[in-house]
This record gives sequence, structure tokens and C-alpha cells, in this order.
Amino acid sequence: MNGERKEQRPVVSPARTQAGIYPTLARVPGAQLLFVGPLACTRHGLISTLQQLHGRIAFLCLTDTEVATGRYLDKTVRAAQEVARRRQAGCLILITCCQNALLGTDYEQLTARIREETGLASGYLEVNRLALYAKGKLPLMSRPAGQLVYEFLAPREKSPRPWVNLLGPAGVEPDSEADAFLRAAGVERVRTPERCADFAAYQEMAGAHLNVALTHDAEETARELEGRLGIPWLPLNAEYDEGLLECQYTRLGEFFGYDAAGWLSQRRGRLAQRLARLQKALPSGVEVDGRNTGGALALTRWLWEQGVPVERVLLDSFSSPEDEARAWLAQQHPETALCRQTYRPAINEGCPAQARRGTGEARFPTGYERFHQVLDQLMGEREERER
Amino acid sequence: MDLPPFSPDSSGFASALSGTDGMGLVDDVRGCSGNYYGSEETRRGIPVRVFVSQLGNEDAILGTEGVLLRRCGELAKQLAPEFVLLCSSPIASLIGTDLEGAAGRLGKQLGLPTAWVDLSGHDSYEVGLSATLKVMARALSQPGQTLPGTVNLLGPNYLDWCNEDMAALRGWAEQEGGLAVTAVYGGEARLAQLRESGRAAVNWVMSASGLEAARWMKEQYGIPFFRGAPFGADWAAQLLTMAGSGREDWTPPVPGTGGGRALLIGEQYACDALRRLLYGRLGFSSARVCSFFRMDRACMLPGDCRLREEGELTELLKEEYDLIIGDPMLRRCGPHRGRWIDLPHLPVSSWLWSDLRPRLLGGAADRWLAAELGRDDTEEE
Repeated sequence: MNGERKEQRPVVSPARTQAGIYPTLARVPGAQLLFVGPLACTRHGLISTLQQLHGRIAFLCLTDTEVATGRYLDKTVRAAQEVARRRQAGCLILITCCQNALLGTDYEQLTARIREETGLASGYLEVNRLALYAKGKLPLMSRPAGQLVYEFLAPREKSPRPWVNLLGPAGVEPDSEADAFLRAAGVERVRTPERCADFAAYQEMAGAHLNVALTHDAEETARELEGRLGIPWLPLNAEYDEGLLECQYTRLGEFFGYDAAGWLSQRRGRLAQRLARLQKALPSGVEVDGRNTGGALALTRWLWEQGVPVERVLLDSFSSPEDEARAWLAQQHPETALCRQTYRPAINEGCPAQARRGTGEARFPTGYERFHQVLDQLMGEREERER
Repeated sequence: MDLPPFSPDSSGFASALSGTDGMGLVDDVRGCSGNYYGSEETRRGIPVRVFVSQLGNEDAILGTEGVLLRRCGELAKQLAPEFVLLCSSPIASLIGTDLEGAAGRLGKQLGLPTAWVDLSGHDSYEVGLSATLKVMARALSQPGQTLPGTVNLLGPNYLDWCNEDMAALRGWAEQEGGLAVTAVYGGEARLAQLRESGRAAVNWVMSASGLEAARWMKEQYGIPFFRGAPFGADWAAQLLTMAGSGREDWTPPVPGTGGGRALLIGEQYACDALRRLLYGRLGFSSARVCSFFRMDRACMLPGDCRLREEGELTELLKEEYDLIIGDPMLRRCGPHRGRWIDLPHLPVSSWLWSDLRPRLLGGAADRWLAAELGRDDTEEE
């Protein structure tokens, strides 16, 4: 069946730019999530949330009668009140599912009612999996979940000293390359939602001098925040493209009056040295797994440029389109098969061990870290042994 | 508010079909069968037998039958199933797809026994499991001359029971009780076995989810049934005897005189069997069986109850018990007094503790309980 692996070959994946809806929304400190829908929908993606999000998420499972009679509207408000009463909430996010694509509930109005009844800042996310077969022409969500993470920021005065927000997925640690660069450029405080101790600290992010978009998806959020909060933004999201990455770092440095040349030359040198050391040991063929993430085709292109043939790229409905890299591949290396996994595997694969009792989000690499992460995947153990 | 949503009816449908030589199709968007394969199916390496029709926006407007028939046709070519069952999920049930009509047309198109199960994706797993087993009996079994000494096992399933017990069940019944098992409804039933199940001498209902199928077969074929999960050496032996005679049914257990109080939360028949163990082996004087899932009234004792919401369990936990047995996730419902022994239940806590589900079949339940009670529980509390 399409998507099955026929032979063992090294598999590499691009940095994970997307996480599940629940963990993404739970990045807002103090946010309470309330999923409203039938049992069949509220059970989705449950395994990852059972432990990690305990106390952060509640489910309102509707009967078909409640849906048919519209009683679910009042019930949703009552459930929100109960969440507000029983849990220390900074804000409330309603999540709903495909069935609402048919019902057409006015969630703007419903969340306004909830704000009125509970006094809590409220937002919502509608998920419509019916759009999965629209070949990317229809959004799966009423807005990107990553964008909703910043919805509760309200305009406020700029901080006296330079603060920067890193916009993108979770897992950007304070010792990331982006953090190191910004500190070198004189930035006093670098924030992500999960680095904020509580909802009040999170709201201080609105006083930042600059937003840095770490992924392509985050650019839309950055634009929205620029319009709403007046925070300018710059990208640091070059996917496996050294030239573009250097440009982005240079512009970022310029914003703070910092000459990035020396810093960049150091990073460039380190990557080049590692590549030179590994050149002979790099595998003669790899597979790229781009399911549930973006940047797979850009990674494929970079691998080819390093002399590593890519035999196959696995994609799915959640992979990003990457038109430019796709066109380059079609022209330069048409032998690379792009496989879209439409059907689930014919054999039940079971649950990955780490999912059983939960592990934290993986570290998200920034800047040159992305290249090193790929080399770690390809060579990690072998390189370690050789040393 | 502290508990996760329980397994939906579509998971019960998937569980009933998963080990068979049939095929199931949930008429809905991608993800509805993913609940089962993503959170509840613990048998690695078994063939996937349940799929979704993969509805899109246009199908929701123009009707889902076309896409359903097309998808079934494609999948049937790949899997060569012996029969096909269809069911609805939230989208298709809301727009009112005529699955009965679709099943009729599909049956003609494929030349296979085909039927539909009336589900909506709004109910919990045991509703789906129960309805699916009944439809399997109605659509696939055939009447005929009774086969003396034969028994159908109705309702044992991979959501309520651990995999090892499910795998051992048929052999255990044949070896320990000398029974000739015709079909295991809820386990790895083949079409040939299901066809012959209409001729069995007796039906053994092993979980509350098997009851509807048993009642239907009693009405249609006159097959008598009896109830009870064969957990605990004494109760299992009694049930094996009942299977041989085909004339007795569930009887209330006799409390012990030791004075202990227990609360058991989970699948009704399983908890009832463990209650017998507490009464008979440990002398407990009182044990209540409660469940968030449908219960068989005929097998309830005073004090037993169906829990409608988690607040009801919070209230129950405030009472004095010496022992509570239930899924570890249920501890979230509030502070409790007395010893708590974890009995993971997939429809509640998904795969999270599935590897810790104990073997209970026959004497295994006695050994499990003895081991649990002998263990120092201070680290667990």
C-alpha cells in the first residue's frame, strides 16, 4: 500500500514546525481549553493530552439531541462557567470540530457571551477535517492554532529596554541559537509564551520591540500582531537555505545596530567543518519523512546539494506545499519520489512507547541548529562512536 | 471535568470487527477510525479492518453515498473481506445518510453480506459494541438444527479485557469446560463461525455488551443464554457448569461476613466477577459495582449504579470504603479513603496503562488480587 517502506534506508525528518492543537493552545500560560463536540471527536489525539494537560483541558461531550435542539449553546456557556469557577484560568479557549461545519455556530457571539458570563478573555478554534480532501484549498482550522496563542495580547507601552518575542512552535529553549544571537545583539529579554510564568507575564509580551518569526506559519501571526499591537517583525525561518539564513541574521542584527558578520562567520565555519568531516561517511541514499510538518522539500534540496541522494519523500495532508523547492526538485532530481500517504498503514502500528505515559515537546532548532539536527539524525551515533 | 472523553460508539464498532475476516467502514471524515487505531487498538501487527469513507465538504452537501460505495469498492479489492458492516459518525448522522439503503446497494455491488449499524458518534463504546454484535448476529448468523454441546461466547472484547485473556479465551473454555465454542462475538470471529453461531446450544454473555445479541438470538432461534465474566476460579467454574447445562443464569453473589466494604468501577460483568472474589475469598460484606457505561439491570444489586457524570463518582468516593478497584484515571475524581487498586480500562484511559491490564481469566483474577493486596501500596497513594 502507498506509504509502506520497502527497504531499510536512513530516514531524516525536518524540524517539527507543527504540534498538536492541544499542546499548541496550552502554551498560553493560564489558558483553559474547553473542547465541545461529540464523543467521536473529543477523543481525537487524546493519548498526548491525558497526562500532560491534566487540569488544563475539559471536554463537553454533546448528545445528538443537544446538537439537534441547539441546547448545546447554553450548555457550553454553563461548562465555561464551571471551568472558570473550578480552575484558576487566565483565559478560555473553546475548541470545536467538524460537525460545526454543518451547524455553523456563531462562535464570535458565543465567546462574547462567555466573556460576559465569566469575565474571562475567551477565544475559539473551529477544526474542520472535512477540508482534508480539499487539496489544501480550504483551511482545516478557522485560524492557525499557532496564531491563537497570541490572541490574548492587548496593546501596551513598549518596554524601556529591548525585548523580543520568538514566534513559532514550542520547544525553543533559552540556550537556542536565536537566543544567543539576540543576547549578543544587546536584547535584554527574549520571550516565548512558555517562558512566561503566568498569564500576566504572558501579556507583557505585547510590550516587545520586535517579533521574530521562526517558521513560515509564524509570519502570518507576526503580521497580525504588527497590525494589532504595532510590533514590527523579522523572519528567522530559512528552511535549510544557508544563504537566506545569513541574510535573515544580518537584518536582525541591523535592527539592533549589531554587525552580525563575525558571529555568522563562526557559525558558517562550524557547519562547513562538520560537513567536511562527514562528507565521506554520509549515506548514499536517504528517505525524508515530511509528514505532519513543513520544510521537507527544502531539506531534500539541501541534502541533494550536499551530495546525499534522496530516494523518497513522504508527505501528507499536513505537509507544507513548498512550491519553489518542489519545482527545483522536479527539474533537478525527478528521480526523487514524492509519496503522499493517503491511506493509513495496512497493519496496526501500535502506540509509540514515549506516547504511553508522555514526554515533553521536542527541542525546536533555530538558525544553523537545523542543519546540525539533520546531521545528528544521519550521523549522530556513528559520529559519536568515531570520536 | 477531570476525566477524558470515553471511547465513542465507533470504537466499539471497530473493536467488534477488528479481529474478524470482515471489514468495517465508518461513514465520516478521516479520524473517526483513528480514534480506535490511534488510541485503543493494542494488538500490534494485526491487519487494519476498519476504515472511514473520508468525507469532504462537497460530500456533506451532495450526499455521502457515492463516496462510501466507491471507497468500499476500493478497499474490498485490497482486503477481500467476507462481509462488510457500515456505521455512521457525527457528520453522516447529522445529514441523515441512508446507510440502510447504501448497505443494500453495496451488498449487491460486492456480492457480500453487508449490513449497517445505527450509530452516531455521540454515544460511548459499549453502545457501539453492543449494536454491532447484534447486527453481526442478525445479518451473518443462520438458523439450523442445534449443535449439542456448543456455545457462543458473546461480548468478550479487547477494550474491556486484556489481550492475553482474549487470546486464551477459546482454548480455556474448550480445555477447562470441555465446551465446543462456535463463535466468539467480539473476538476473532470468522464468517463461517458466525454463520454457524445460529445453531449453538447456548449463548454465554461475557460482558454487558453481548446482551443485545444474546436476546436477539433467543427471540429468533430460541438459544438460551446466561451471563457472567469468567474471572475468579470459583465463579468461572460455576459459569463453565452453566454452559454445559444451558439452563441456569446469573445469580446474586452471597456477601461474606468479614465486614469490609468495596467499590468496583468498570465494565459491569467484570466488576461483578471481582465482587464475588471479594465476597468468597476475602470475606467482604459489601461491594458496589458502578459504571460510566450501560449496565444490565438484571445483574445489578442494591447499591450498584450507572454513573452519569463524574460528579457522581466524586460523591461516591467520599463514602468509606476499605477497597476501591478502578481505572487509575478515575482517581482524578476526588480524594478517596481506603486502598485503591488500579484496574486500567481502555475506554477510559486509552493506551496509557494498557500494558498494566491484569490477566483475570479463570484463576488469574485470584492471583492478581492476592498479589495486589499483598503489595505495599504506600508508593502508589
